[in-house]
Amino acid sequence: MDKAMWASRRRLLNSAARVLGLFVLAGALPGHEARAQLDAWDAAFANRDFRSALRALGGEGAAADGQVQLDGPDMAENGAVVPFTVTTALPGVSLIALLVEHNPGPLAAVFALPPGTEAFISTRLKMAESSTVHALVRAEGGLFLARRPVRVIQGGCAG
Amino acid sequence: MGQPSRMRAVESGGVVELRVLMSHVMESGQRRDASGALVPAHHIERVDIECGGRSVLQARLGPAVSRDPFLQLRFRGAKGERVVVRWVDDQGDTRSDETIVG
Repeated sequence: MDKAMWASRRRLLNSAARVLGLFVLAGALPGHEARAQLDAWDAAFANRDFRSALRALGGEGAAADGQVQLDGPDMAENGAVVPFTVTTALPGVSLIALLVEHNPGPLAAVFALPPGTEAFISTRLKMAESSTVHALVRAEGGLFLARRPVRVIQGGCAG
Repeated sequence: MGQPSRMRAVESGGVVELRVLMSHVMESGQRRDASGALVPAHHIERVDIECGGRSVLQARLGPAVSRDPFLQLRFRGAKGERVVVRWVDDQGDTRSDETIVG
């Protein structure tokens, strides 16, 4: 399938997710809330700058109060493979997103955690250049953020 | 179809620790080939993981996830349960692999 088709799929998802987001806010889809939230967050992959990606995730006002831990290196020799781990003791965690502020597409990954799955995820990301990395968590009590500056010696988007 | 995902699921105290390494090029769409042309993005978009028939993770990946994506997660489960990892990429290619919790 060609690029244009997938770009249009993202656009379609984007508008569909906005509508779904409204339903979620209204509490109209309680049974499917987690799925709808995941689809809503999926739409933020289309955002090309960090602020708009964070806004699309509804995370602008998220509390960065130390309740989420984002572990990773302070410095990465190779931006192609940078390991990160997100953990939190917050109850009722349903979604975790990882964003690399200075990447061409800041949203890197979104994880939906059903009940029974611990608020813990570990993965490896590409970093184009030195950047702050953000972990956004949706828990029972709202949205929470952790940040970590990472210095990158050799950028990793050429992979 | 791609190469099989490598994975290991170990239970301790009612919690399963799962490590998965999927085999995928995860082309970022930012790289240029020898002739200077942009190599189109080609990456896993969705990962769904089940244990004993229950969903334990739904993930959406962008092209900024490293080549051969690695995931580690923890969920309630028991020895002998079947873990299934399915992915779909942005060209519609898909792969499903499984292991038994040890």
